[in-house]
Amino acid sequence: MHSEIEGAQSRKPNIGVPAAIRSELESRLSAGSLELPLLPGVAMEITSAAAKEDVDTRTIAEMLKRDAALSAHVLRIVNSPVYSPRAQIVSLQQAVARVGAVKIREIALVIACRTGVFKAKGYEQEIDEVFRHSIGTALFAQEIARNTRNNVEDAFLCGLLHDVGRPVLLQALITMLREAKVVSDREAVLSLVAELHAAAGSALAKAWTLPETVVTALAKHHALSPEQESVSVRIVSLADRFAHLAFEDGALTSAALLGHPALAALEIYPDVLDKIIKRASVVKETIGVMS
Amino acid sequence: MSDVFDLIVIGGGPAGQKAAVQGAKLGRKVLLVERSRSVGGACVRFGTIPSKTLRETALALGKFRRLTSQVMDVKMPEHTQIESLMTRKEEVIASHESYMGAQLSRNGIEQAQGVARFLSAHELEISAIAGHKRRVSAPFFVIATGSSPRTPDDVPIDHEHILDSDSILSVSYLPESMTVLGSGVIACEYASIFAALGTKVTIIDRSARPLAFLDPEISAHFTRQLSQFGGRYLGGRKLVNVAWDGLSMVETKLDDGQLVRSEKLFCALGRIAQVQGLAVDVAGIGLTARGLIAVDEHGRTAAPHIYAVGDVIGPPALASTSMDQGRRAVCHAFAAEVGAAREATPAGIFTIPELACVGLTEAEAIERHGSALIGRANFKEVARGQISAAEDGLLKLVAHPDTGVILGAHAAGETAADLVHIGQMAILGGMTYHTFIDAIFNFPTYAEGYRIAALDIFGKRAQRIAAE
Repeated sequence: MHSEIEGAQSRKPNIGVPAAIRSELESRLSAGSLELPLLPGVAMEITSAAAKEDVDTRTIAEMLKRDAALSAHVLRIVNSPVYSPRAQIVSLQQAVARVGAVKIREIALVIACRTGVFKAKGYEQEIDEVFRHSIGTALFAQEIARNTRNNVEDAFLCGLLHDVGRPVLLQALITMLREAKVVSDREAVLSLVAELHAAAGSALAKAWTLPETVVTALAKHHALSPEQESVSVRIVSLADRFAHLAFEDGALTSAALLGHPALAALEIYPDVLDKIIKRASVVKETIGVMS
Repeated sequence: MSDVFDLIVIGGGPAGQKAAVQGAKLGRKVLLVERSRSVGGACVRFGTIPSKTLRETALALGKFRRLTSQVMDVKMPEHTQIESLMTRKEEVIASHESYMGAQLSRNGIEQAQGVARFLSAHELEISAIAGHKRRVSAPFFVIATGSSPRTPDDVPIDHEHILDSDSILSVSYLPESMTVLGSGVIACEYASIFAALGTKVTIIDRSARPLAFLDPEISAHFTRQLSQFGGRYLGGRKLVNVAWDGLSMVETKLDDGQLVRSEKLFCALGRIAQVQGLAVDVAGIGLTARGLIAVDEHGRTAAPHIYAVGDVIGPPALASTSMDQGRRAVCHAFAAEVGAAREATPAGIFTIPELACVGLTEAEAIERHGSALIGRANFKEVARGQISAAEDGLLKLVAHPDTGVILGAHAAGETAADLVHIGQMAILGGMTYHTFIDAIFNFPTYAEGYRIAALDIFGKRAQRIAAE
């Protein structure tokens, strides 16, 4: 065992994350041996079933039924004002028919992420914020994609998962620190997570066999170089900023967004920008329902 | 204060580029305004180039299957990503853009990125993405802002399930089924590409046959190939309703009671001039009922110092004719000499199979001259067609009933768009079909079809004379 870690056994709080743990985390990440959460079975099944042509409402409803918690969440969400049900939706089959299999897949993925991935003991508040921010980014990414004639479904996935590396790394790091009996400063833990989250996110997307565009977007959403990046990277990067401005840093205005490198790259002129900004209230309402 | 130029061209697609280059070649100070980062227009970003790279993959796949079906079995994996089928798209776009950009800078043309708006008949305001504004003025303008897809009120385009030609290539996976609304070039090109890749395609339109401007024998090749791919053409139908069923399919109701269900719907019901925000009315220019800019034979709008070229003035809206319009407009503006406008403009349609035409159709020739001489060469009779396993093709020659002068050439099948240029030269040169009989063609080539078609005319004529 490394001396630094042995030293930490005395439970003196460390300022930072020990270098050995950091390098162990980095090498697991690059070697692909980081333990990644599985996409819960039902969500995975629904994801692939919803893409098929002959899927019917009953099949999807049957899949949902096998996961009681998921079913309850779906019913709560489809009865929310976002989907403006004409009457109370009481059955799962009704729910699927009302909002569509693709939408149900989105909802299932959101819930699966919420319950299976976005969690880290002791950091509940931070992760909760990350999750709400992710949904906001997903919804804004969809609007940006629609208005720039890019793929709407991929944009949602990219946005939802762009920060998925944060909880994944945090869980791994917490476990490693606990096993090494090291107590690290919260700030230091979170900053290491922030530093490495993009790589962890893309590793997870690969493990879940998500489309290549998603893998790339997760890997590069913070390192935007407009000349080279793919469209999905630009969309997520811009949607990320939209969500920050709309729900965290105060004001979502076109003035605050001007100068974002993705605007020029995606060729979003002020008229289109305003159109997307106007969707903020719908996005906000949807976040409230989904998180 | 305005920056002053001799000529300002708005729009950097094929029409605008050629207009700008022509202005520079005449020694004028030219500004080219383009809203995208690089020149090329819809042709490069959403249109010709991306769709042609996808088509190239579909063709290669089809040809590989035809030539190797005894040896190999090529199947597409389930849920193929569209992007993966446009393998060379980025390279082609990049090289196209850099070539065109270089041509503009070489000619000393100043480029400005932004959206333009007329402040008066001689002054323009250019707004950049980041909000900076700049004023420019000139004695002459060329509007070459192109077109955007027309979105009918009753087709709820969401760019997710119901798409238009700007968003159709953004779908992630090759859909299992697709409904195509429209029977024009864009509708048929995409329909045949998707059908060739394995999508079950249904084309719906009011017109009894697709590509109605073509000779019926030529468009029949398209319809036949479409059904061989498992697709169908539902002509003479009106749309009653289009809606996403909220689950997994788009439902299209027709006036004959049919309900067509498909994973995606592609709406290609025409294009309208893209002049939103340009404030052409300030410059004294109105739009026609079809949303286009009206021009005279020189490309002049209602404001005589402002020209309009390319898609903004409507059909034929081909890159080739747009470039010619751009050149001609600028020559006219600066009173430079320009050759007479040519009648024999070819049209190439990159469906599968490729279709092309130049000059008069059989029906047009009969209408004009009372009757017509018709010669055909089926690719079955052309050695090159047999070798390439591309026997399904036709070259059809139309000649004057008395003089035998070539009036039209129509082709379907491999290299059709190239092939009609030989006919075009014959038309321009006023040649008769005898020229083709006496000429020697490379063997084995598709061009030999001209000789075969000419001999067909010769044979029929000899029979008719003998009978008389």
